[in-house]
Amino acid sequence: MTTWDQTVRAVRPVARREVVSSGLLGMVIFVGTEVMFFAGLLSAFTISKAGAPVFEWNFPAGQVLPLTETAVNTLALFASGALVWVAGRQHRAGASSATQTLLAATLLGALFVMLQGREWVGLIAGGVTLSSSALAAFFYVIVGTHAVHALAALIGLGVAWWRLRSGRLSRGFLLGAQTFWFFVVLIWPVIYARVYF
Amino acid sequence: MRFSDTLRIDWTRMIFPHARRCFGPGEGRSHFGIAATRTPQGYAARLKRVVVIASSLLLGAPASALACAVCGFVGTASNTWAYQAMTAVLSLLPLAMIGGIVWWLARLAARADTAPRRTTDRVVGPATLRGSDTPGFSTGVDVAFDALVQNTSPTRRDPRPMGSSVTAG
Repeated sequence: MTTWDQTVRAVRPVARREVVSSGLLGMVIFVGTEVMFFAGLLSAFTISKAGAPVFEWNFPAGQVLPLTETAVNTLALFASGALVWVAGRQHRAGASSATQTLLAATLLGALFVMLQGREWVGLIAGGVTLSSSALAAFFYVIVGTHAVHALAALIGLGVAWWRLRSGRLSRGFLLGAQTFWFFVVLIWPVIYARVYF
Repeated sequence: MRFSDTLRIDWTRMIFPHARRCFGPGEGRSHFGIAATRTPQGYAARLKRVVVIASSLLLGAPASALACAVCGFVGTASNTWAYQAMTAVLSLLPLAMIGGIVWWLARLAARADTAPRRTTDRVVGPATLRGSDTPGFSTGVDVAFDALVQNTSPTRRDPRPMGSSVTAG
């Protein structure tokens, strides 16, 4: 009886190798759609800001965005992205330290989200809401959308850490979680530069 | 004339003949009082009229091209610049991403073609493509980092010593 491999071997004499897993390729394409989503938001923000009168493009009651605190948050996010990259390399090398590195990266990412939430609490307490002004609406929508993506990516990293700890982490899952977290990390400086300045 | 009188006017009979004169089938037959001829010269003249009128409209009213859902402040120079810049970004970004993915896949495929065959390599069909090892995001920096961590490259699975001949299988 002819097996599937024998049939394929007869049809395709040259062996083929998978160069990228389907999971990773799917995540890359998904990240591409997410990039376009944020590009649309930032495009609307840029055009509206360029055409708005200066005295109308601000927060109510003299509130300003905390640039310094957010810069510190950004550093924490960058450190988290670097640790995720190192954890991936350690996992590939079979090093047991990958578990601690991935946990540290996840905690740093969670710290970023928590500090951003603290910033939001301060703004809301100061009277800045979604309907306060056009700038406030854009700020909450864009930064809030990024925070939702960061939370989703953190859940992915947490699951990856749990699987790594129990020895059930597949290479494809880690690559997918890494890719999504890299997207969250790399899109943030663009948002920070456009919205906060 | 009162407004109610305007409702009784057959506007189509007043406007349509003039439109047919410009864009109609040409001279040669009588329709709505317009004499026309169905000759190649007639079609060429009609095409010329269409081009001239359309070009005049585009040249005379370019501001209408700036109409979009977020242009509540259309009219300022900075807004126009931002609109055009964002149009360029939104047009080129997907093309750049698609090109990047294609380049990345082509690079991985080229690397797989030149890498030595492993003993675990096998012929795979469409249904068995899942779960095999993948180079992923391997870059020169990655390889250097691997060499730093464990003094060898984990991406190199060939047990033969470095520098031995590598042939595509």
